Amino acid sequence: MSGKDRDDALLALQQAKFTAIDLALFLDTHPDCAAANDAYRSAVFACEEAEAAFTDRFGPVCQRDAGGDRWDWTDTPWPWQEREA
Amino acid sequence: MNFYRNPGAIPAWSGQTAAPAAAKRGPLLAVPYVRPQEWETVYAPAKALMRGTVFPCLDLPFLGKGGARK
Repeated sequence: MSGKDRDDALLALQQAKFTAIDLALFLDTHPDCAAANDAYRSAVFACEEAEAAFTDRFGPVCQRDAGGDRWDWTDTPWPWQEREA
Repeated sequence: MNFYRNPGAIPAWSGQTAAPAAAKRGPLLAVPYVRPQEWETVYAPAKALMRGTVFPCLDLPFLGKGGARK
């Protein structure tokens, strides 16, 4: 469940999400900045890709991603179990 | 917290000994101004997360000795 591949995928997701959030803060005060809007759209796309890449291999990140054939929310380690595996 | 609403309150640290005619309501309020941020080429996501911002112009040495994690 754990391991370097999972850590790397989670870090990539964190990086993508952070970029999108920070660009959104800029857009809050610059709603007409086309360059920022383009960058935000790209960042959101990167988020979706990074999230799909993680969940496909390592399970759900958010509860809304859980489910499918069976409830897999509790299959993966909780945050405080990350280093035990 | 009503200190500044008291017309007679002139704090010792203000350097004022008496209220000027135009400032009967007490010390002047601060008038802050922040220059609008301009768009710039942003950091790549990996660097942005490490630095705490995607914007190079906001990547500032808050510790007074440069960022902690380059």
